[in-house]
Amino acid sequence: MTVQKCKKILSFIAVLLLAVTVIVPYSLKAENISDLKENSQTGYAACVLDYAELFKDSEVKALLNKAYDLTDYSDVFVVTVQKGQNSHGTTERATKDFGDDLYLKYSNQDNCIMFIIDMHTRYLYVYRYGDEVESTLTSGKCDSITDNVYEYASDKDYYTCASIALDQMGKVLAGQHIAQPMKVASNLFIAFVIGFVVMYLVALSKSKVGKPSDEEMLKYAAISFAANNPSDVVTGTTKTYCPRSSGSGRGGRSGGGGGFRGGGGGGHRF
Amino acid sequence: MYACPNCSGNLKFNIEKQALYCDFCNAIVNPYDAVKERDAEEGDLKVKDGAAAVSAIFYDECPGCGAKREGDETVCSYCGTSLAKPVEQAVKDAGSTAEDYYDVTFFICPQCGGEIITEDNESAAFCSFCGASTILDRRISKARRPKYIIPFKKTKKDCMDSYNKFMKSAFFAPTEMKSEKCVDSFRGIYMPFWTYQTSKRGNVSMNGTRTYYRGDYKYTENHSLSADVDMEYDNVSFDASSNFADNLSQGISPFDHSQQQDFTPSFLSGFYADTNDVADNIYQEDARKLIARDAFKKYKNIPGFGKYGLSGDSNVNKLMPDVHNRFLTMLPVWFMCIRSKDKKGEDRVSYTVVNGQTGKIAGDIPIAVNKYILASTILSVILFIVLNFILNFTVVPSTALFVSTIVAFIMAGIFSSHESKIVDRELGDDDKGLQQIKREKEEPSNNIALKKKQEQQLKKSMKEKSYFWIPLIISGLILGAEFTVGLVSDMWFYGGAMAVMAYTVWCVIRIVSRYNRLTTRKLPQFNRKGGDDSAKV
Repeated sequence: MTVQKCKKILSFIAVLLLAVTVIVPYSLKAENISDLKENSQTGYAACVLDYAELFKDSEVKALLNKAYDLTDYSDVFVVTVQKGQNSHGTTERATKDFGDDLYLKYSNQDNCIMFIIDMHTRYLYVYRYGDEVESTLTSGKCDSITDNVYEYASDKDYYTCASIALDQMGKVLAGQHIAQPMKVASNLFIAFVIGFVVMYLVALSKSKVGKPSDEEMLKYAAISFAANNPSDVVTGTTKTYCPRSSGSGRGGRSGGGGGFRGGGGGGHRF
Repeated sequence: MYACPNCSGNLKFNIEKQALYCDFCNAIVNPYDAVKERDAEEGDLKVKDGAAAVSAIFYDECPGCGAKREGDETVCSYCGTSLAKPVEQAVKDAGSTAEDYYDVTFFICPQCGGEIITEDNESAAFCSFCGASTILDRRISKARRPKYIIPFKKTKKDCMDSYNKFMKSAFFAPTEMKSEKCVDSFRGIYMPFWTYQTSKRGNVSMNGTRTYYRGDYKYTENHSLSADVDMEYDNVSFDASSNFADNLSQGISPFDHSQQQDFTPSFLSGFYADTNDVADNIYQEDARKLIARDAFKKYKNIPGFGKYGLSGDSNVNKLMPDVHNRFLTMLPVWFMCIRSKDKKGEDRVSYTVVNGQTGKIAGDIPIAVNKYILASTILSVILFIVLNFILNFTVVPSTALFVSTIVAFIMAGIFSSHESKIVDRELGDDDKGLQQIKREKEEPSNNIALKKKQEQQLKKSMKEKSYFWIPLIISGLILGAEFTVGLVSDMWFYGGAMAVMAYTVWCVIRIVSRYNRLTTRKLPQFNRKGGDDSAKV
């Protein structure tokens, strides 16, 4: 392959990437949301964005109704992302970033929650933004919810997956208890591993007699130490240019000025 | 024995009275005034002063037939002539005078060859070094006279109180170590220590640096610091017996030498004493380095010197003192030896020692595996409750697997480190005194590189493997599969975490049992007649 061919291919990839990053957000802006249900009392809305077309019409309606039940707390989105739609990559973080994009485009409310089925990254993600929902729907709870439903997504039963996820999100927001087998199992492993190691260190400290320090070894020694005629002579000096005032820190998406700090949550691969 | 001037009863040193005391008529006698009754038997001179003295005791060639003396021979294997020199000759050859020695009874353990001295005529039926319950061989002989002695200040009751207090905090110690029988087996033994007197005088200079900023420039000043040092460090002591493990002797150090007295054998009455078999130069470097490190701290505190960041071994070495005097001091130690069998049925011993002057305690305290497992399980349950219900801590299964793997690696590292220590102890490499004895036993070899290689191979073969690759493979396969083939199911991660957890628990329990091996020692085998590796009680 010639150098010129390589350059052509690289240029094509660069143009493609640029197009994807420009066109995808534009396409979101141009979206016409039809599956939307607003809660006039709270001002929040429920919305189903089935880009990946995973749900039947009846399922969309059912999910919209379920999502509407959560609009007492925040905006609620059920989102499916089709392959190639997420320009942020293929990681869990990419799904979260996609959620940030959607939040900025469609919600901008104080509180917003989303259940995202990302067919591009193959991650389920419970996204939430806003102090109130974040304090109740903690990232741990988000992890648990996605862990509780990921098997449905693996079996391609996306409706049941989203439906149960919405149920559990509602329960958590209402202060109710949900089953968290993942949390129990993981904590059990960590507790046992750490317990055995910590107790070993405790047992060792209780059984081992430490070596005395130098000071202790010489505690009863007869010591006399005198230093007379101390002298201090400068034998040379080196001078190095070393600017101490450096530039200011880098700005960023979550920088000062009350800008968007980004949401968060928890996800699971399916 | 020392006879009471009133009733001829046996005088013994009484710790509370700090004098010889007659149990029959309550007479109190100054140890320096006590007169020893002449013992009926008297054998050959026995100079216990390291390898150098051996040639002073025995002829290199048989005076009868001229055959060369081989190994530990005391009698010529060809003509049966004694190879021991007459006392006066041996004393002369050793560069000592007859006053440097005193008559004592040696008890020699037929199992380990350990020797212990007593001033009493009673028979000993228990070896303090290997724990053998057997009547020890008895011989009247001469031992090198120490210069000083610190008499016992702590009674056996004080010692037992110290031990009981220590054991109260040793939750994991086996129950049998807390039994009355065990506690009662402490025996007062005077241990020989080499005490060093050192000094250094003269100008000591060191190079220091100081760094400061002015504007955008960093200035580094080099300074030559010097001072006329006049220092003396006296009474720094290290044990002079290969019977006494370094970690134990240092564990109960230091001793307050301001309470030392001129040695007279009557102080030993009622106690035992160990013989010194470690040459004075063995710990001399340790003593000098210890002193140099301390002097260096003082040097850095000379007004104006502190800001120059003095450090480094080369600076410390500039304060290495000269040893201008060294002498033997008998120091009081309460000694307990517990004999047990390991899984292979081999006899092992563990020691606990208490400083007979200060009450400081050191010992080989094993961890009872059953207590450890119980306590670990309880702690794990508490941790689980805290993590799960109080902190609401949630981690995803892959993180649980990752954390478990990291912990498993740490434990594998600890295991390997333990193995190295165990091998060093088994070979006596963690004790300088034992190393000396080992060197004396070994055949001289010119091929040092080959010898080192053989030693390394031996050490490698003695080490148990940690199998650290088990958690690495498990978590590597599962976490790798997550990213490559998109492994999804939690069950894989739980399975992996469970396997890694099982490895960790197995590893920890192995560490505990190997640690317990570290707290016991092989039956001592001294470089003396009587030692027998295969001996069993």
